Amino acid sequence: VTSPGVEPTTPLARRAVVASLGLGVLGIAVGARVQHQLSRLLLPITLHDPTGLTDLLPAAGRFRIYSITATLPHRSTTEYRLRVDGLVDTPLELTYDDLTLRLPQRRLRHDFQCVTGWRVESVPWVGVALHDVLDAAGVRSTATRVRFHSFDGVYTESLDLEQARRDDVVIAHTMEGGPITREHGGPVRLYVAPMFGYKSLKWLDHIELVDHLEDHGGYWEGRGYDLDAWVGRSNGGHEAPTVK
Amino acid sequence: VSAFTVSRFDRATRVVHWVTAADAALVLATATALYVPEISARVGRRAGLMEAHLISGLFLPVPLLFAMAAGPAGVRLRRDLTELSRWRAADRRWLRRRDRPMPEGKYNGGQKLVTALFAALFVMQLLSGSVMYWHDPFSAASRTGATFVHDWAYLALAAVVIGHVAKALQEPELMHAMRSGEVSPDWARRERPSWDHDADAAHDEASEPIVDDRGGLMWLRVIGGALACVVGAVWILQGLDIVTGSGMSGHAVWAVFGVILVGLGVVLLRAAVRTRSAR
Repeated sequence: VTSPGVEPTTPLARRAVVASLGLGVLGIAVGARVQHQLSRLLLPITLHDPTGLTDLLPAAGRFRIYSITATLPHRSTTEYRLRVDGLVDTPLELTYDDLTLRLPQRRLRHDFQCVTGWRVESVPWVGVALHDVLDAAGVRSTATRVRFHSFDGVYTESLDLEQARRDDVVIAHTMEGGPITREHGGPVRLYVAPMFGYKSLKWLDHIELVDHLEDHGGYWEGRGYDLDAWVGRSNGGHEAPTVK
Repeated sequence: VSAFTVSRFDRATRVVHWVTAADAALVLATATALYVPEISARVGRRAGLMEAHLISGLFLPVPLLFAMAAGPAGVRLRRDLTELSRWRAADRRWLRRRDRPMPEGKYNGGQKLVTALFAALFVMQLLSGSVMYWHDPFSAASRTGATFVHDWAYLALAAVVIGHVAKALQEPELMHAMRSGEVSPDWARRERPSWDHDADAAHDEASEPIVDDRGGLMWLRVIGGALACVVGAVWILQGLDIVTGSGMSGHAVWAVFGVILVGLGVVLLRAAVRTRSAR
């Protein structure tokens, strides 16, 4: 059926692009709040979903699995050792039992915030406060920074001593009520609550006290991220940090 | 125009389609590896994947833009895009009625909607992805919002791509047309009775020997083609880890990009040679 004369048409592509721009800007503005509400609604389902499929929903606000090497590192709890050395009085080698049973335990509940945007709200963690381990080893006065090495063989991170001595920086072995799994950096990882996720090194292998940095201070720092990763005060952020 | 076939897509359109399709496959594959936790855990290599995803995503509109800027070679593609972006009463009828009345012209309402969806979702990903990657000026809440948008739009895009491929597999004649450029006169009469394919094909003849009144076009192609070849070659060498010392070194995916880029360069250089001999 052809109508005579000029048929009125709608500029479909233009409208689609304008609409998506509007929707995109709106989503960026309110997406965090929408996700907060949706993830609260979905939490009872996502926590007890045996298939794990609901984790795939962007609304679920669940963890993404980041690893930088080709294979996931693996170390059993029995063969696990945490070395603490460098500028310390007594180098330590801590076992999994040392960390879970013998050292004082610290519990905290805090958001996990990735620098690129994804966030898991209110994650319960259990571990040993990093300052307890530092005190046990005895930090020498010449030390200025703490370097962390992952047993993936590549990833590193670092904190200055003041940051490392905060109460909310823990060597974690339990999250969300269970042992930290291999994907999440188990059996033992770092959790730096007030900073972006890249500070919370997974598969913690080795803690080293140093007086200077030989590189940018960490894997992602070498790729342009800030050395001090305060949520809200670094990597361009200006709002109040999310310390609870 | 051959008596036995009807020209539906010219060469430029097909090249743009398949280069974009290959790149889109790479974008979706890297996206899936970055997003689905089980796959992320298996694949790892986050930094390289992020880079590959970013570059292949940014590359998505490049073939199309090339063809739009390519003068006579892009005439039919531009014409098709104009047609695809016009939503007519017939398209509304096609969408509403279950018996799918005949579309008016070359494309039906579904084909137009899919094109619009691709454009809209691409814009959304470009916007939200930019906030995620160049995150410094944005608050943590905006980044979370951008990730939220990027994730939902990823799921939507995956659904549209799967739908697009499924429909193409159901329509062997159109699938064939995207490879060879041609459909049978039977199909044209049956499926697109009001498509004026002679007018469509006339552009082929008009643009074949390439009459170039813009003298700079040949040089633009020579320079663009040479640049693409050189950059592509460097990427190949870096991807194969022969040239080291860059964040790209050792990421095999850059070799793939290099091959694509060199291919683009060769197409441009060939077009330049043809422009010259047509003068």
